[in-house]
Amino acid sequence: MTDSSLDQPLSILVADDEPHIVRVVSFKLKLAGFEVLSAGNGQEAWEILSDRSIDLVLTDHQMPYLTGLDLAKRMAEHPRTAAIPVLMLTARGFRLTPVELQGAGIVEILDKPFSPRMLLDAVRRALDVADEESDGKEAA
Amino acid sequence: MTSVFASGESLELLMARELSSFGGVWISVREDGIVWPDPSDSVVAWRERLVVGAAPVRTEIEDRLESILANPLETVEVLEGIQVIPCVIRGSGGVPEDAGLAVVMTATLLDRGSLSMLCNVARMDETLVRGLATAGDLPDDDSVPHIAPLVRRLHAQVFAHVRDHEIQQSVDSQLADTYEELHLLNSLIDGLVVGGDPEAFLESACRELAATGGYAWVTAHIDENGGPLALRSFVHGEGAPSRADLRRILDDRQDSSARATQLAGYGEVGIASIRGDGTCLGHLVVGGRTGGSLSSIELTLLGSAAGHLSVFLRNASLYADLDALFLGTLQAMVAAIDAKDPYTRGHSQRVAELSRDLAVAIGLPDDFVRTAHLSGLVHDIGKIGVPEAVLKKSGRLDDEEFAAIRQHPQIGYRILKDIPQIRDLLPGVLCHHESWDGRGYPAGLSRDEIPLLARIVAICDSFDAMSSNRTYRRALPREEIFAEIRRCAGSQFDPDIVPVFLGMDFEGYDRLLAQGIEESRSALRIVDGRGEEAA
Repeated sequence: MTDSSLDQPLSILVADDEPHIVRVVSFKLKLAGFEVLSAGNGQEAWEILSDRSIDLVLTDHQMPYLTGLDLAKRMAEHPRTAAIPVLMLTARGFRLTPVELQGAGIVEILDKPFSPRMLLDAVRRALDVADEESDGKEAA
Repeated sequence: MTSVFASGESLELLMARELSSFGGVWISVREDGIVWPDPSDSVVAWRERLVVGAAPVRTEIEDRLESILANPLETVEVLEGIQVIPCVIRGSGGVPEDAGLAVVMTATLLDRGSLSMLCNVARMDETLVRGLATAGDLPDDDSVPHIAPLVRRLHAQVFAHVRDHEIQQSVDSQLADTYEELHLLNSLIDGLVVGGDPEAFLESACRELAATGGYAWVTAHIDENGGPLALRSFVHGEGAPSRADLRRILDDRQDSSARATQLAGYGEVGIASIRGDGTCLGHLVVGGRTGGSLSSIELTLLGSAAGHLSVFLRNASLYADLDALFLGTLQAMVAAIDAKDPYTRGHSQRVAELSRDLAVAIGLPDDFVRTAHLSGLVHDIGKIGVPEAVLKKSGRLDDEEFAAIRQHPQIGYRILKDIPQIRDLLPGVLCHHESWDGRGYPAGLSRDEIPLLARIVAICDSFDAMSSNRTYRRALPREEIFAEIRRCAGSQFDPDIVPVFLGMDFEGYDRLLAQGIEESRSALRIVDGRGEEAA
């Protein structure tokens, strides 16, 4: 959409049924130069994944229709989406057991309320991109 | 809401793009004057270069700006073929919120000599410009008044969009900051467990603050009145200033809010004092921020963190006080036994230290070690209930007197049993005279039936009894005591614990013993003196 960067920006799919979470996450990610697509539940996220090329998925766990874990497992089963790293958000105090996590390509789990800054760091880690542009814009 | 405008672009850029479709150029007018498009900006097209580059147009607009804006509904011809549509947006109360001029080139520009003159002064190729202008299909002079309302409406829409976008951005930014704060405060609250490890809490607080605030370093310096952490410094990250360096920026301000300041050699630092009950307990200092200078959001967050540290430090301090009071109370009870029986003065203290050391040597966990220490301290508390005459008797005890002495574990148990906080110590009090072979008292328990705590206290108790002077005998030499304990392994004592005990270092114990003998002597002198007076 924007022509500020010649490189195709990395695209991130954000799935959460809480709009304010999607909002905060999108804001931080867009500011950092990522293209952001959003989905209000797991099913919607899966549909987007089916016809778009996505570099990373950031999903809430507790969502109607298809949970974050189900989404991650479904992604792992399909060759087209298996390699996409998944970051998952979970409610505070909620713990997923190693058995539950088996077969889902989840690279990191973040507790809510998460720190948007730490989340951005986690995204960069997962995509292995350096922090070229600091958050200077926000402070201005 | 869907918008035809791409997000995040400036009003100038959006207006320039929209106006270019009919030969228009946008010039914003601010309070301090006209904002001419920057000709060095690659986005600026030939129209802007013609208008901005041509001094006559600029001069004409600048000179007539006031009258143009005074009649915002009139279009003005500033030069043949160049018309200006003033656009002014007024907010509530008629205050202008945004103003600008749409400079429109008309077909007249191509007919008259104006174009060659403009191209000449703007140093542009006339043939090229004429070609571009013709292709762009310039409007007639007459149609400009009809275009004007559309341009004004466009300006109003673009202005509203840009403002909405700015508001949206600031709301999103606030929301993100609120999330940062929520996350930090949550993780700090998680650490605010009473009795939790104060050092671990301070370390994690510094670490969390560094991560959420994007600081290269975070340091907490605690003052001398900061309870159990007094005069300690906690640092997370590299390059934090020392306490001495910080002293240069610390002042006696009573203000507890966080502030940003420059610290020579460290750049901009954020500092918040940790305050409790009107006094300063220490300082929380952050610096080396990667994301630009400290804003009020970061300072608010720093202040909140300092507030949490203050709550924690005061809790830790109260907890330490309570613990000291508890230990003091136990020691007062022990002093009461010592006062009754000067021969055993210091016995409880020594058994406490030995029990603790033995628990450590066995490899028991920290809380057990603490229990062993306290249990050793109070194991003989029941002697308060034994007649003084029996305790002080130097000759052989008769059966009745011996029975009285043998009551002390149960008496001690009864004294302490209603204090819930020391329930763990009770086995050591009640069972420290039980014997491995079942021939002890009061219950005659044997082997594993005897609580481990009591088996530990029992060895330490016997060892100290043999090591100190008693009413009925002098202290025995260490070798003899060791031999006796070894002999009793498996009969009186737990055979697994005995070798551990004998392998311990008794240096600290010997110091306590020497001190105790000295105190006993002086206490005995007082007691004897009184005895003579009474007699």
